[in-house]
Amino acid sequence: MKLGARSGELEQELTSSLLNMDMEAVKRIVRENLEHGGDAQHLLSILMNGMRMVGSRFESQEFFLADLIMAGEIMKQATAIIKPHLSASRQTSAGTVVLGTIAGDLHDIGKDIVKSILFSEGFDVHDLGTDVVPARFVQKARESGSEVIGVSALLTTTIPRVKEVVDELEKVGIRHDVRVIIGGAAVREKDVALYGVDAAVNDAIEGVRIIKSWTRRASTK
Amino acid sequence: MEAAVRGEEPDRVPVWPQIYAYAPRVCGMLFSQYCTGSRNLVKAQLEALELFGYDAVGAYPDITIEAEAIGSRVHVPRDEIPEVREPLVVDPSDLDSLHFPDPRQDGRMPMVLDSIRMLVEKTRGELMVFSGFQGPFSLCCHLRGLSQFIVDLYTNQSFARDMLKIVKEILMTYAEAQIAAGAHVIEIGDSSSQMLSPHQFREFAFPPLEEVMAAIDSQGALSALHICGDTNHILDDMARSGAHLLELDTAVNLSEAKQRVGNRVCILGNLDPVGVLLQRTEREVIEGSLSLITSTAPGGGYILSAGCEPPLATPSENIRAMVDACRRFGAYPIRRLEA
Repeated sequence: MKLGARSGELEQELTSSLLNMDMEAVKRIVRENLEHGGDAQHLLSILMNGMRMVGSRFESQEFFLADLIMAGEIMKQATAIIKPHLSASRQTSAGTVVLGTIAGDLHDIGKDIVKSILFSEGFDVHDLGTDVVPARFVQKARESGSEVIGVSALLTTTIPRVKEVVDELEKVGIRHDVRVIIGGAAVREKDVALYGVDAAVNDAIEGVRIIKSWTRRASTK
Repeated sequence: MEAAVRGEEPDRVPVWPQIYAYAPRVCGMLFSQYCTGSRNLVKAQLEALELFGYDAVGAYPDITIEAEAIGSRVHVPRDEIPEVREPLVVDPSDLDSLHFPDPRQDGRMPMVLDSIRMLVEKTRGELMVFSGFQGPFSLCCHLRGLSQFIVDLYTNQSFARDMLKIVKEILMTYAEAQIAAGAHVIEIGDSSSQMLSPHQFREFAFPPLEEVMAAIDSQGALSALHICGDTNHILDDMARSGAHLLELDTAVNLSEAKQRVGNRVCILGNLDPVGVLLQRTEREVIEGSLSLITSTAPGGGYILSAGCEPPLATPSENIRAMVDACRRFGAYPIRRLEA
């Protein structure tokens, strides 16, 4: 009884600290709980649930982009504290994604938003940064066994280079194992056909939704 | 143009498609040539003006000028838009040693001032010369790194306010130099502030913005506030910043914006730069322009434009179509379309 009440208290305190964007409180609660033998997996699922609430408050315009970025930062730092306490078998991942901004393009806001959301949804994300040559995406996907490559491109002049990523996947013979999604403000649905990618989006939340649908499908195969 | 910016009804709706980065494309000039030499910038601006015949020119090569003059490392690709490579203010204490640039000496600021002077001379006072810079909040994001400056707003607010204050002083000095060089409109681009909540915008982005606008006004120049993206949640504060002109993106319904703030500011916008200007035909550009003119121009205080700069791959026919539409349908009094 008593333990259940305490667990409810923990959940409430941690969630409200996250929703209040109180980074120090979140880290303190996580640290204290782990010191007292708390369950790392439980902490992680409370925080992931909290991130879902952040996402829905963003969609209902109660939260703004700044909140989304801040919550992503909190989640990143809290996860860094929690990770070493997770037993190997319980480090369940929602999937593995390689992310990067295509060569010739240095825009990273959109990519970083997608990264924060993927991260909070439990994905392992390999972020290659900006100005990434097409072959590097493929090399990283092979190394990490990723099932998704996310290419960010803001400039209309750099969007077409995503085709080189697709070509490279075909060249090394893993096109069927890896799905490619391109994202950016100027990206349009027609880019799917134009460049042979699997999805093209101009909205971070929509992009993550698509990636989740792919990895869910992959895991039930 | 000036009458419109002052909120009045000119003879015709002015049109200014925000031709900044697009200008070198018109004359086959590399971007790196355009943004590093005032003669090149002026040449491209005048050729684009000649080709399209809109109502202004712009001396605003790219958005890294201020960060670079302060000391940021800037990457200038051969034919793309320059970018700030990495944050300059890594530790909050770096703020104490931040270089306060002299617009006559540092980075490419002198090149911008030269460009203003030349454009004023070449257009002989017949056209408005736009210049400008990144707004205080956006410049802080360039200098500190975007995510980190956002985190500062939550965890270290006094530092964030200090940084905004210093950056504001730098920008006021730069504004003064641009006005002295002859710029008619100082356009402040503060698009990173679009990410803030209304409360954060009012607390952090607004106060320095308001001071910069007041300083510009006191020197007899006009000011424009450019924030791309969805700004519906901060529109009223944008209007009371003291800017004479608001440049609004496609996510804002312009006739609603006109009702909300049109009595206080001139409005510029907002054909979809990608969805229409880049990807549609001339006919659709004309239709979109006409619909904006009839919904937003009556009463004056309106300038036809896209929601932001045209993407570099925009067909030049579409820019010409926007200008032509304005010449054909923009004469006052505007006939409202019957519902």
